[in-house]
Formats: sequence, C-alpha cells, structure tokens
Amino acid sequence: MSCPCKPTHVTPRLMPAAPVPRSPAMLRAFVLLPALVVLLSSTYQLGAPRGLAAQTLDPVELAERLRTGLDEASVAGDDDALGHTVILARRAVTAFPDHALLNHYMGYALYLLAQRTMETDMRAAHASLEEAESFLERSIELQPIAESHALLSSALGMRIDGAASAMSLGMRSGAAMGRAKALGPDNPRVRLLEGISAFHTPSMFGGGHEAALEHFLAAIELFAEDAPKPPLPAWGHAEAYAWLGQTHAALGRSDEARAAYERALELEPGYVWVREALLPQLGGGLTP
Amino acid sequence: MWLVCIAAFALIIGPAHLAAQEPSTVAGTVSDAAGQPLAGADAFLLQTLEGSLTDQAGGFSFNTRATGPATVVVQKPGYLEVRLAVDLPLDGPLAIAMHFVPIVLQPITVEAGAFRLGNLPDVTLDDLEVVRTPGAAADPFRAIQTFPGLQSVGEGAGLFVRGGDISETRVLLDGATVISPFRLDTDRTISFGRFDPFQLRGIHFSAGGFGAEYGDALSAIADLRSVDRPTSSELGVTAAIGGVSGGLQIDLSESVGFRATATHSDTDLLMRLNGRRDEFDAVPRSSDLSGGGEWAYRDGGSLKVFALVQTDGVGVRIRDPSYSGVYRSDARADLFAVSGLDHVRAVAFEWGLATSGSRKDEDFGAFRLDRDDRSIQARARMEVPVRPGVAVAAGAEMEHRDADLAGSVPVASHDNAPNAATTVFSSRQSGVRLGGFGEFELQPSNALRVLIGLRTDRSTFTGRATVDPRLSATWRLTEQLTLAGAWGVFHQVPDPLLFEPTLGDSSLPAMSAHHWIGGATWNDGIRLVRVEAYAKRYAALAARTRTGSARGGGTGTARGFDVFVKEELGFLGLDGRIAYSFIRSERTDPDSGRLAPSPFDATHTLNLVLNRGVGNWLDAGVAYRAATGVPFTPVRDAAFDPDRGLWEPVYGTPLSERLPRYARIDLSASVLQSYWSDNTTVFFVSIMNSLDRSNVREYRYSRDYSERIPLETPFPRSIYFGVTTTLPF
Repeated sequence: MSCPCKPTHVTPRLMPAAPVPRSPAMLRAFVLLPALVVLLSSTYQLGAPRGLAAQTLDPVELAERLRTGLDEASVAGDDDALGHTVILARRAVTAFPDHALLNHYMGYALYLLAQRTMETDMRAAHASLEEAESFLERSIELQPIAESHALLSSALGMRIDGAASAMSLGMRSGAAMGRAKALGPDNPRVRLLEGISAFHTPSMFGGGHEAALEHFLAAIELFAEDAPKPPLPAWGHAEAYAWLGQTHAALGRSDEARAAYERALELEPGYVWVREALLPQLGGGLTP
Repeated sequence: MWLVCIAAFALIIGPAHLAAQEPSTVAGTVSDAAGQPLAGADAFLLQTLEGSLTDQAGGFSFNTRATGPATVVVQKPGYLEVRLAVDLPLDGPLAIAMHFVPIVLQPITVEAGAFRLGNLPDVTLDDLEVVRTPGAAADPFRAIQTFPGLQSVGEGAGLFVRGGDISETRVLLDGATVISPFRLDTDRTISFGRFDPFQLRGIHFSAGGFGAEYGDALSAIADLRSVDRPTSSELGVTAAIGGVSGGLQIDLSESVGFRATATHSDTDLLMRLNGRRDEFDAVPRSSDLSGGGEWAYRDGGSLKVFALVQTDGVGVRIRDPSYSGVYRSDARADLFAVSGLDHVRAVAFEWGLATSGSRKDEDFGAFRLDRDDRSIQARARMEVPVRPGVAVAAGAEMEHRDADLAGSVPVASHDNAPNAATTVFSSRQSGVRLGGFGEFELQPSNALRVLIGLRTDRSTFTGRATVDPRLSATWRLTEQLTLAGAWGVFHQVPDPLLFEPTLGDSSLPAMSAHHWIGGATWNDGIRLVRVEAYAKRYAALAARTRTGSARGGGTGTARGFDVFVKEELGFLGLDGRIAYSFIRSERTDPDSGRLAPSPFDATHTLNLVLNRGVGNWLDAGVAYRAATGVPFTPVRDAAFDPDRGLWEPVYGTPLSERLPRYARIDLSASVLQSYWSDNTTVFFVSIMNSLDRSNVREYRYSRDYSERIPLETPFPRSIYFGVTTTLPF
C-alpha cells in the first residue's frame, strides 16, 4: 500500500454522530469512476483472470489475484493497473456478493484509488472512500478480519477535513481502530495504519511524529513474524519502512530516513513512491 | 453400456458451459432508454468475469472459450445493473438498454447525509449542521426554521409552514406521531423542541406536496428518525450555564447497541447572567430521560426502540390590564415507539407500534386548564419493486386518541382576574382514526419520474371518510437541473378538544387543503439553488376564539415562493446557506368570522447562515434572521364596565396591523480538544441576538387600553456557554 499523496486524516477519536448513509455514497462513488473507466476502455480489453477462463470461478483464487494485483499496482504506482484491478474486484463481488475477502479487497481497492486521487480530486476521493467503507463494513459483517476494521478506520479518518467532520467521523474511526486492535493485537498492518494516522494527527489530539515513530517501529518488528496465509492481506512491510523514513525525515534525521528508504527498496525494488518521490526529497540518492 | 451413456450425458450436459472450445466473440451495444449509446459501461460474463468496457459508440466485444448457458452482466455508474441470460456462442451482437438508477423520490427536504435530487423541496441538514446553526441552540426544529418555506412567527421552535398554523405540521419519530413535540409550549413562554440532534439520524421535512403515505397533516411533515445502534461505547457529559446532561452508549455487539441520556435544565444562572431573572417567579426548567436501542437480527432486518420522558415547568410574571400575577405551567410528555424493518427478497416491510402522551397544567388568575392527551398508534407499510422503473407501496395505520380537558376559562377574554366569571368544564374526548394508502412510483424514461398516490382516512371524531389523491413529478432536464411539480389534497382532523361539548362543536368535519407546487433545482455539487412557487387553498378550518369556543367552516389561501441557495465558498473556507420566503396568506378570523390576513403571514422571511472551520479544532458561525412582522388585531377603543370595575377592549379590523420588523444576529463558536486517548472535548459559546435588538413579539395594554406597550423579545443579547466531553470505554 503505497501513498505518494499526502492523506489529510487525523486521529479518529472524536464525537459521535449519525452514521453516514451508505447507498447515496455508493452511488456517487460509482458515478465518479467513469473517467477512469473510459480511459481504460481505450486501453484494455479486460479478459478473464489468468487460468479462470473456461473453468469454474474460485472466489479464493480470485481473492488471491486481487491481493497480488493490488500489491503490484500499489508498489509500481501504476494508476492504470489499479483501475484495472478495481474493475476486476467489482466483477468479483458481483459474482460472489457474500464472500468476505472479496468485499474486503473491493474496499481496499477503492481505498487505494482514493489515495491516488486525494490531491487532485477531493470529491472523487471522498466518494471512493465512502464506497470503500460500505464494502469493508459488508466484509466485517460476513467475516471480520483486523485489516478490514483498520482500513475502515483509516478511510473514515481520511474523510475528516475540518472540525465538523472531525466530530462526526472521528468517533466511528476510533471505534473501528479499537476493534482492529482487539481482533489483531499483533497484526503489523493494523499498527502501520495506526502509525499513519498518528503521523497526520496533531499532537494536541494524541498524534505527532514521535507517536507515529513508535507505531512504525512496532509494526516493523511485527512484520518479521508476519506470515499470513494467502489470500489474506500481506501488504505493508516495505511501506512500514517508507513511513518510518518519512517520520525520521520529519524529525530531521536524514541518515535514519535514508536507511529506512533503502530497506524499503530492498524489500520492494520497484517501489516507485520511495524511489522517485521520497528518496529524491532527501537528496543525494542511494547510499553507495 | 449404461456407463458409456452416463459418461456421454455428463460430457454433453455437465460442463457444457465451461467446456474449452475455440474462442467465440461476445459483442453488442449498450444504450440508454432513449437509445443513446453509453460509453464506459462494463459488460462481462458472470461465470468467467471475462468482459470489456463499452467505447464511445456504446460497443463492446470480448472473446471467451465458454459455451452454453451464461449470464451477461452490464454495469454502469448511475444505471441499474442489467443481467441477460444468453447461450454461448452467441448468434449475433447483443443490444442492451440500461435505465437510470431511480431518483430517490421521497418527501425529503432535511436529512442526515448528502443532498439528493428527489421530490419537491429537497435540502439537507445533518445533526452537525443543527449544532452549528448559530441561534438554534442545538434544537433541530429551530435549525429547520432557517430553511425556505417557514415563516418567522415569534421566537419559539414552532414550525409555521407556508401560511399554516403550527398544528398543521405533523411531527413523527420513527413513524410514530409525537402529539407534543415542544417543551414549554404555551402562549406565555418560548418553546423548544423535545429532541436532541444527536438522538436523531436525520429529519425528513416536507413543506408541502408530500406523498400519500403521510396523512392527518394539512401543511407539512417533519419525519424524525432516531439514530441507529452505536458503533462504540462511551460516556458523555455536558455542563453548560443552563443545565447538565449525561449520556451513555453501549455497543454490545455487531448487531446490538443502545444509548440513554439524562438531562436537567435550570435557567436560573443563565437568567441572572443575562439580567432577566426578575421576569420569572420560577425560571424555566426541565428534566428528561431518553433512550433507545437497535437489534439488527439479520441482514436487512432490524428492530428499534425509542423512549422519552420529559417534564418542564415555568412561572412567568404577567401584567395584564385585568390582573397582574404569575402564569404557571407544568407539563409532562412521554413517547415510547417500537419499529421494525425487514425484507423478503426485494419486498420491504416496515411496522411500528407507539404511544405518545402529554399532560399540561396551566394557571393564570381565572384561567385554569388541565389537559391530558394520549395517542396509541399502529402502522404497517410494504414496498414492492415490480420491475425496473415501477414500484408500488401500500400501508395502513390506526391511531387512538384520548383527550381529557378540565378547568375554567373567563367568560370575557379580557377579564383574567381571579374572581372573574368563568365557564367551567370537564370532558373526555376519545376517537379512532383509520388510514390507508397506495402509491405507484413510475419512471417512464431516464429523466422523468412520477408518483401517483391515493389515501383515505376515517375518524370517529368527524364520522366521515376523506379521500386524498396526490400526484408529483420530477423531470431531470440536465445532470444539474431538475424541475418538479406536485398537486394534492390533504386532510387533518381538528384537535379532539374542539369537539368538546361545552365549548366545542361535535359536527366539525376534517379540515382540508389543496396544494399546488412547482419549482426548479440546480445542483452542481458545489452550489445548490432551488426556487419554488406554491399555492394552497384551505377549507373547513376549525379554530378557537378568544373565549375558547370552537368555530368551524373557515377558509383560506396561501401563495408565495421560496428561494434557497447553499454553497461552499472554498476560497474563503466558508460554507453557508441563504433562504428567502415570500408569502401572501389569508384565512377566516375565528373571532369575527371574516377573511383576514393569516396571523402567521410574515410576508418576507430571510435567513442567512455562514460557518467557517479553522483547522480541525475551531468552528465559528454567524446567522442573520429577518422577517416582516406578523399581523395582529389592534384594540381601537375601550368601554368601562362599572360592575366589574374593568375596561373592556373594543377590537379593530381583524389582523389589520403588523408587529414591527423582526431581525436578529446570532454568533457561535466551538473549540475541539482531546485531553487523553480517544477523548473528545468541545467547548462552545454562543451569543444570541448579539446586537441586542429589541424585537416586539406582541403588545400588551394599560389598564384602560389607552396605551399600547410593546412586549419585547425574550431574547435580548444573551450569552450561553458550556463544555462537553466523552469518556470512551
């Protein structure tokens, strides 16, 4: 899960509010994809998933394909591949609407799409996040996993853009993160998302760079023991180093930041965000 | 041999649609209902997920090795999904027509969440906008008052809609009628709504032309929906200059949760701080306990409970020409509502059971009134989507009303002295109203939607049945511009106590109104502009005269237009709304029997609300409210009554003068902080009537009626502040 954009979420722990209606948001998000879809239509003819044509579809195999597709698109910073995978995920949940992991990956795909569009089209990003929330909530209803709760928390947090929305969404986001931690106390992705949230949260609300650093170091430690069984989510190891590097950089520790970025590239040599955005920001390129 | 046959059969039938064959092409075109090609639609095989997106000409084409029965699915944002059974390989290209996702056609003007196209008046207000509306005092009804179609009549929370009386707006909670929706609801005090905005998920407010589902309402519907189950557990505490409140919400599981709130308000300190303590013998005070819960017992099925008990009281010092003393009011209200929602396939079922009651004791000199009301209700509703673009809804409701009235009212309305001659009465009125409705929702094209409904009600109070046909249409001209129109007949049973034998009239029929509404809405996602014109014609209106007796057979009209603009001014960081309403209305004056301007006719009403957030921690707002003064009947002379030693007023032409223009500016700000993990603390402050303008709410007179004395607003410049904090667990 790479993030070349700069999410604007704050720590999700604010006031209670009425739940956001699901269906209009879903509709809006669905409406906001056409530009991407039209672009893709001139580029792709979406074929069957590899090895699926002329076979009975296996939702587990589909989930694995979505998992790897999203991880590859994310690491490569490939918007077209991400759009392609969003469409495949939507087809998959159409075929298997009650499959928890497929709903999870549909939500995750929309969450990544929102990250890509957050800086250029805030409305589209928020609509994607609202639709992502509905799929993640559906996944949680069917079979909760810690990552669904954590992503839900992060999606809610990313929609906070002022005091008013902080009050309405913060409490829901905090509750979702609480469930994520209860379900996966040693899940490195939960700790990573908590760290990202802390990174963007003012220290007056319990966030800040020092708090984030603690989360990222803990996440990296947990990743060492992390071996999820496919097709369960496995993203985040390299990203944890990317965020650790950003945090060090924000604290003025360039050498530690560079070391973290280099470790991220060892894990994912094609990590475009680190190679083309984060490292150049530090200046000087890779350590010889 | 048998084995060979079985094997052959299995080879032919079993995996036919999955058999690996030479690739065949699945191709076709996708268009909308008008035949225009649709680009960007995703057409794919459900069995293999092979597919492609349509091009600018609406064409798609992809290859598959699958054969036999299969399903082609076509999806496009904003359109209903199409599923087409096919036999592969195809004989030729497919021609697929898609229909718009139906426009949400509900009589919604105020609702949590985003703005939606839909039926007539359609604007949005969520719980936070209620809280952020300066001067609304976190009262949902006061926030609704800042929207178009509502006239500014006094300072209370009452909803006077398009020339209608406050009683012509029916207030519902989870489908149950709330027979007493306001606290401190008396002629001598300023009323407030009973509901906390955080108890509500949303409010559907219709200023007219509403669907056949809603009966027994002449002008408007305020349909309140309680919040769903909480998603976290926490304790919340609020302390303000006017009272304290504690709330508990518990998220028991993924499917069960409940919340409870207790509040005690005492305005003694507030009144002292703002220099108004002397106006009261007993300052306004109230206590309430409310709670609710939800059990989502299965996907699409849920059960909800809401309960509320409130008490309030006040003692106001009054100086009338005939008597100076203390007006006292003590009231109690309760509501208990159970509602359910479930689905069987695409058919939705809703039901509800509720009881709502209120008791109010008032006392001022010779005037004494004890009133006790109770409503017991049951309702059921089902909605069936017949096919794309056609849906049918039907439902029924029963309401049993009891109203007890006891007391004494002065024979002469101007004589409130304790020893004045009075009419003493004591009665109990009971009756049942049965109602039913049917509604067709049609979408003959992508841009046009029509709602046709019919409802009928029969009340034992009137002894007659009413039939209300209703029609509304929405025509989406462009993505941004929508035209809408509505016509309908609306009936409402008069207050049960108007049938009371001593002062009432047992032959009153149901009051009726015809609505005609037309308007246009422009919404480009950033700016919303809505203009609406309307006309209403009333018949069989019933009201009380000054002496408390009932007069029926009243008529009336109301004509006007509303303009609403809601916009985000991104470059200034502001969001705001402006509502302007113009009205000309008249109705039968119950005292003279003559047609006169409506007492609720504020010709021009303007509301401006602006909010600005600063970072994620500060929110500030300003609201400006101005309106033409409402009409009143002047006293033109007085005659001395030597027997009573009192002056008796002689009234002039009914409702021939107006109160001075009303204007007020309110300011508010809130600061958000967090002091420990998962804590939220909000400090809030508001300054009501910040320019300290003296608004006149009515006139009182000197003892001989020679001098008219303005009775000024109960809201001089007042400051209100407090803090609320949460303790998650």
